[in-house]
Amino acid sequence: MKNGNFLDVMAIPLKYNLRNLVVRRVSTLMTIGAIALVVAVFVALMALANGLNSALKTTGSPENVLVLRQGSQTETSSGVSKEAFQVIQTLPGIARDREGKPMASAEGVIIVNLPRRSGESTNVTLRGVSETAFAMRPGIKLVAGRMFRPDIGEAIVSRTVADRFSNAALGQSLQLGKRTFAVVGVFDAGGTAFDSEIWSSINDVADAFDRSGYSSVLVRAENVATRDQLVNRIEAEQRLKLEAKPELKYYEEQTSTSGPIRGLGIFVAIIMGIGACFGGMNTMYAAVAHRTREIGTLRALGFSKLSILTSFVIESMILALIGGVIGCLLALPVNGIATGTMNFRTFSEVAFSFRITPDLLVSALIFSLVLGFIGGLLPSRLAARMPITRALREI
Amino acid sequence: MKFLRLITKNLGRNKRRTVLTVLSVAVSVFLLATMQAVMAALNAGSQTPGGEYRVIVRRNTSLADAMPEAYAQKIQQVSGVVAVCPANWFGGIYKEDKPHYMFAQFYVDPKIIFDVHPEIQISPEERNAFQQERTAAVAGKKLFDKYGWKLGDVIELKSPYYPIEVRLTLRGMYTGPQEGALYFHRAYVEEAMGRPGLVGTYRVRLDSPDNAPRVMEEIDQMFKSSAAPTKTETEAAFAAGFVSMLGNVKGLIAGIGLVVVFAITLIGANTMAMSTRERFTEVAVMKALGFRPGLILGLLLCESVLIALIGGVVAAIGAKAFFQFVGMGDMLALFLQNFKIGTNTIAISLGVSALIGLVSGGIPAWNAARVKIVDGLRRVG
Repeated sequence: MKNGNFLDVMAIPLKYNLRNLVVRRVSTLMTIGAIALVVAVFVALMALANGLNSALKTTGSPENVLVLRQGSQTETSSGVSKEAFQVIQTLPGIARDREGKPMASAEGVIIVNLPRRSGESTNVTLRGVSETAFAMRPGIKLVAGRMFRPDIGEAIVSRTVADRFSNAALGQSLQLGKRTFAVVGVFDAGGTAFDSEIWSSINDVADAFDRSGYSSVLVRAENVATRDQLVNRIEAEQRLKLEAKPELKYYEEQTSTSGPIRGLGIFVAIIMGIGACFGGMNTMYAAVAHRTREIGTLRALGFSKLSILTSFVIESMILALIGGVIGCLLALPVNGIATGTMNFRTFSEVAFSFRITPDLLVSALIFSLVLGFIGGLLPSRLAARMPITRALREI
Repeated sequence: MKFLRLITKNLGRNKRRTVLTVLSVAVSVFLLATMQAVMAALNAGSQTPGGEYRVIVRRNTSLADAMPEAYAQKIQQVSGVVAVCPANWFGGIYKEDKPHYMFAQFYVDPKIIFDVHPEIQISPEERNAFQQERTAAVAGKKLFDKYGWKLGDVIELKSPYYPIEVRLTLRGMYTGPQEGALYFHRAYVEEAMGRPGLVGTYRVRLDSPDNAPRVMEEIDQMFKSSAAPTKTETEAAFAAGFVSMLGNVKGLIAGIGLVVVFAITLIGANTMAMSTRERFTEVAVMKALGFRPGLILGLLLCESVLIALIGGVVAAIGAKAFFQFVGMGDMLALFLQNFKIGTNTIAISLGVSALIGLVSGGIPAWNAARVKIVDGLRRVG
């Protein structure tokens, strides 16, 4: 290596940039503040979409198969006759419970309109189930009260329903259809879609809403490997005119519900990001203008154009990264806040919580670095291209 | 006004900075304008002109439950009721099960629907053609434009709820406040389903909005102890119910809007602080020449308000053009039938811009106005 090249490749110490940020602290703080706000909004909106997605994605057991009427998109628009249910139960490949009965639950799913505690009313899913339903969904745990007894108008509600709706707390009673249901228990479904539901026995629900058939049937395959065979077997029964799909898949198809929120998050983040970029550019241009003489001196000392460019871009990225970290911290408190929205597929409420994941934080920091890079690039190029003589002449 | 030139000169002093600030205000205000328009669209759903003359009757349990056909006659007898039209949501799949192909479809009584909705504008010939043919349909102009429909086109809709499919012939195009819906004959669907005789909602037209509370009460009382009790709401409350099901959308949008305003104010304040800092000496000179602090403060404030306002104007024009030519996602369009960048939105955007200019210019301008002549003149750089 020739001697002269030594400074060409040497980088300007980071300390130079950090100290510069401190020197013009008011301007630095305001820029950091703007970037922090952008990142915070991005994280909060994405946490909303994440929470909704994970509520739907984690719903269902891998062995379970959901049976619907052909062409139905959702349980609410489906119908399965009592005769069909009898036929399904006789099919081979269905798991059996301890007593040797086939694990198949006839379910009646009805959307009911209930008033929230805040006054407005919204649609809630009421699910009537057979007794086997709980063995098939082991994720559902009673947290208060007791299990409902079938056929006498008792119901259990999810914790979110108990908290969010009037008359839905333990010990109260709900008027559903033409019957009154006593709330005897509260369950927790581990953050899945069932956490937005009210459960009772299938006969009570059918009676309250004058239904002669069922909405859907949930069956459990002997194991995950034979699940798809069971799906085929049900669909092969031509006379049933039914459609079967893995329970996991059914809920995964509903994740499109979070699309608009995700879209909103990206839209807002990009637009605010552009705004913050312009603001950041202003700051960096001012920084370059203030340091014209310094830049000239650095160049005269032998630092290359590339070193100057890199140094300024890094400075801008540090600025943005600090903003990004603060933004993440600002958004963290929303994690876990419970909320709800309408599931566009079923037109009923799905409850979920804001969910901030490590992945999300990493992408937020990358986003802030990108903002810093774009905002710093043009001003840094200006700094790097400055002729040494002119820079040194400047007062 | 003699100082206007001074202000514009100052704006041109550092053109790059001015342009960057204007742009950063513009994109942020663009976002605000969009949010405001979304909010207005959500509210507009519940404020159809003439809507105060209508109440909607449905089952008290759930929209999925139905009422008997015989209710129509009974509701008709309530005093103050002008017309009663059964309306069911069909929700059929047109072409594909995708948001792009989703739109409102109702099967109604073709004779009465126009009495209940006098705001629907349609030529008498098309109206007659629709009423006479059992498989005919009318749709709003918006739908005709969106899917490139022509009169006489056949529309096939597959019901997701019942095993039936309807083949409709377009016989009329209407205009009016709600152009996103398709209406067809109730008799056609009822026949295809084997005459279950079920009605999802009754749209009831009143002689006067003042009668609404009494009529709603009377209708619900009438069916209270029947097998299918009802819940009657004003059209506005009925529509607002759908919005509230989306969750706290308004809170979310207001929250984002607030943060956006705060972020632009920071960016604007930063710019103004930078540009006034550079002018310390100049301000001192102006003061030495006899400019009063109040005037200097005013000039600097005008400058920052002007920058923000230019940004606001760019944003308003941009938003108008963007949503005119680019449009938005199908999913959003489905929920925001009435989305538009209206005069209100533009006025609010400009107001907020001016406010941002005022706030962000405030502290730097105040500091500059209070600078001591000797300090300012002593400073070099």
